[in-house]
Amino acid sequence: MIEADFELWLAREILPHETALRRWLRKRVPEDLTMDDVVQETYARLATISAPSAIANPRAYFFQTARSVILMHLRRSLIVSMESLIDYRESQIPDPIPPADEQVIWREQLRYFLNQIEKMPDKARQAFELRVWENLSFAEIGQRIGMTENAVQKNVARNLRILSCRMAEGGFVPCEASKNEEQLNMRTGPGRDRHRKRN
Amino acid sequence: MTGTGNEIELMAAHWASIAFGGWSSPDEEQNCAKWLAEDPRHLGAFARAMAILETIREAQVLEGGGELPLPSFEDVEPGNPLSRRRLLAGLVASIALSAVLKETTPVAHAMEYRTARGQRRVIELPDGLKLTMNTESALTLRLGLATREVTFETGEVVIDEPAGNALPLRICVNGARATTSGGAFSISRIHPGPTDFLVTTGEATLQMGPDSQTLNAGSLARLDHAKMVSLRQISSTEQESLLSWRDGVFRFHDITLAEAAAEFARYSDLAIRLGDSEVGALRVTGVFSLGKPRAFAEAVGAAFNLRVVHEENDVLLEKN
Repeated sequence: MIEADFELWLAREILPHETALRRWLRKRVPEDLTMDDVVQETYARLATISAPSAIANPRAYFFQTARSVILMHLRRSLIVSMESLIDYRESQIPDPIPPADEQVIWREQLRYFLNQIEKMPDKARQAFELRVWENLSFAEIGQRIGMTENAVQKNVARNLRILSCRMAEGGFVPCEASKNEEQLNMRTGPGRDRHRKRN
Repeated sequence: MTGTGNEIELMAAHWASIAFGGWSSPDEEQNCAKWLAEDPRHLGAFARAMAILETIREAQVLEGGGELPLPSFEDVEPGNPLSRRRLLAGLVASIALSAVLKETTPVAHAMEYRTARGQRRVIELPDGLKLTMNTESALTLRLGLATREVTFETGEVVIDEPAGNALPLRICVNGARATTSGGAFSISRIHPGPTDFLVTTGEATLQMGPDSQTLNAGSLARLDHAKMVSLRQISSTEQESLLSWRDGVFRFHDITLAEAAAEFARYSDLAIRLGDSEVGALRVTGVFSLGKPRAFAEAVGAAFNLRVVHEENDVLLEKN
């Protein structure tokens, strides 16, 4: 696995299954952990794999890794019932072949992302698009749209955070943590729906 | 654990927004590496944020009415590395965009370090990794999302890797690859040919082609073209002698004067010349300062009753 492909592997083989993983985890996250704890640690373990392309079924591996994160936590806990451990050990990983609608949901989620980018205020949208799609430096973007370099970086990071939060919620549910920011950032109204569904 | 999930996500977005376009400086990358090393969840949130940006970048094909990239839902052949260009083939309508994607691929940042004759250099990273380079040495350091790698080229270097880093350290040396989760290692290749790999503390797994071997403290492996030509345990006294350069001294133990002169030549442009082979065969033991060949010559001259002739660019030791 060459380094350059790592993010691509995550983007194409893991991220599309995150919504399903979170759904599967909903009743399995121990009380002293949060969903984000488990998901973040799962991604951290994936980040240390030396040859991800050799993994035959990334979706199943993603679920297995999340389960092992929870099991490891339970083993380290000072007080844990044997029943809990056995429950987790025996809990079945979902079918490695994802349901057909998962593809459709992922497609919709991507469309939703693009729609959200379109709804950003003009400068925020330009900053985000120029960074992600044109790969300009923060300084170059600042010159183009009349913002400081620092402001551009903060803007891109803030909007990435909002999209990341949406992703965690399945892409369609407003995110508690960023509701206020969203109200400030996202523009609504007709005329900005270039990315609306084509199907 | 440090920070709540939301705080971690905020910081991950901050670093990913910077990293996605490529690091603008080693300092920036090292600050990010420091944050990543604080908590495994940091690395996970960062990897996820990078993947989201990658997804959005790919999703741009919608602009041209193209098909969205979808997960493969198929088994990937083992050992068949994914290629960004292959995966994007057919998805990206614009050649210009394809070129941008190729050019902006986030890769591990590689930094080359060299020392001149007589120079020593210490490189300390925020994650605790410490590299001490001796005279005329060269190495390359690669740090990335899933990479911590030192490639040794020539000279002498001591690597101190603290235990507890989320990512193990890889050390590439003479075609072999050592992996460690903590310890201290000395690597030496002073002349063309084999390389000595010494474990002073901790342990490392040495991979040589299909073979691997775990080396414990005190193991000295001699490597040549990805093969181990010898492996032996050495005493702490011998280790001290091998590593004495870090203290700025030679610890010679019963070596010939010719060998001692060759050692001094690695550190200084001032040469120690020997009058004849009999002088060269004299044996010396003692502790001497690395950068003081004239003082060494004077001490040896006094001990063996030799004549010491100081010239501008060398010092001659000959029989009286």
